[in-house]
Amino acid sequence: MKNIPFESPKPIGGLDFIIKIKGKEYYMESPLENYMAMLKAAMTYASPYTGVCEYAESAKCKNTSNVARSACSYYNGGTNYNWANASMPAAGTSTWGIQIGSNDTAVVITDYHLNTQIAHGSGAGQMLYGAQTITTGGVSPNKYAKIMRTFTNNTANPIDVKECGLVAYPYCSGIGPDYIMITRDVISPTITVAAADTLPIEIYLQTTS
Amino acid sequence: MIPVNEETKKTRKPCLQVAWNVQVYDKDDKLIKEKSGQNSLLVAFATKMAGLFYDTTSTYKDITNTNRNAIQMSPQGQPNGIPCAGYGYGLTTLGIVLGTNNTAVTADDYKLNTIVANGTGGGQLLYLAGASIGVTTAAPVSSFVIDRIMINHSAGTITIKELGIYCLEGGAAATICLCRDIIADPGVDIDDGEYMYVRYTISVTT
Repeated sequence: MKNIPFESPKPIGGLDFIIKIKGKEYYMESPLENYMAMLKAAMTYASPYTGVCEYAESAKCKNTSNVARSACSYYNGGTNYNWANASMPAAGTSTWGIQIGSNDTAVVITDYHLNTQIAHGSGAGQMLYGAQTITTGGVSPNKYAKIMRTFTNNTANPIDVKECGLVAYPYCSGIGPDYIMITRDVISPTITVAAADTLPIEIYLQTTS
Repeated sequence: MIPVNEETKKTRKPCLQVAWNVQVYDKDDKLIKEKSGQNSLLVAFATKMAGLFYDTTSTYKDITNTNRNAIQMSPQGQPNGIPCAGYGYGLTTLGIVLGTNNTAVTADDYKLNTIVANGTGGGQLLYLAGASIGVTTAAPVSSFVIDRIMINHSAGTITIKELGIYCLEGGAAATICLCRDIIADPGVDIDDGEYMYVRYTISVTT
């Protein structure tokens, strides 16, 4: 057998997940198994006759309550629901989109939720969740999709932020839209958000050279 | 977390990686050639990701160099994701595709330079349906595979020098090139009666 081991031309790159916090950029430790299950489903026809894609394998995809879910990118009635239920999370919605938490337990690829999510609100230990946006940009070869959300400490005391996650809201077979965490990262060093201060977080899904 | 700076940009591997492997088998199913490589995701992939997250404004080019909207993926009865596996017998408009031109990859590539057509005529290959396998998770890695077989019944030798993944964009019945890779000269020959098994492995590492 003639076996030529590895191709030599320089690769262009893959896809990086980069988080920008307080003006500093970091490579993310995520994404999670949930993300891979949903991506694989989105890249595979369930049937060429119906033209729809697969649902994610439920054994590899859990919602934020640790319940198995068959998630997919969904179309119905003229609307592309995709992974975000045809919307972006509004201000005050903390069940999906970018989330923040206060527990720095190490990331495991099968994580399905933040360990200790910081709730939305103005009470002790709470932060206000702003509306989320998504845009694309960058200069080739570093083009990106940017998901952005700003959190505000409306309490009288500082709050430590130690973890961050991105929760999608895809259609799930037999259920309807449900919350699926696709990235989780421990923020190190810890970010302390002073009273009345804001914490903008940007997540970049970026092609890399 | 690892800070993004000039040094880590040079040393760190991408979070989501795409590796390819091509194998050529003879008519007795004996493996006779093999090559591997990795990581030539194109900008269209990032835009497709934005589309999955409901970005309604961004555009990218299809394989005819026509701008398409990222969200135009799902008219009724059409694909609702970025499908490139599980279908495609005889089609070169979706799934793994092969070509004969190894001009260097740029991130803005929107198609294979010289795709090998489907068929049994000179310079053509028979494209079987593609499939996806997985997800397989062995912490800290999670991955899945997209694969396809192409058979040479052209009566001649075909030299493969590029490969990629095409997905179907249902909104305009257009095809998008998600990644393109090249095989350095002399490429990989597929003789008449032989077939090539192509495998793309998509993986993340926490």
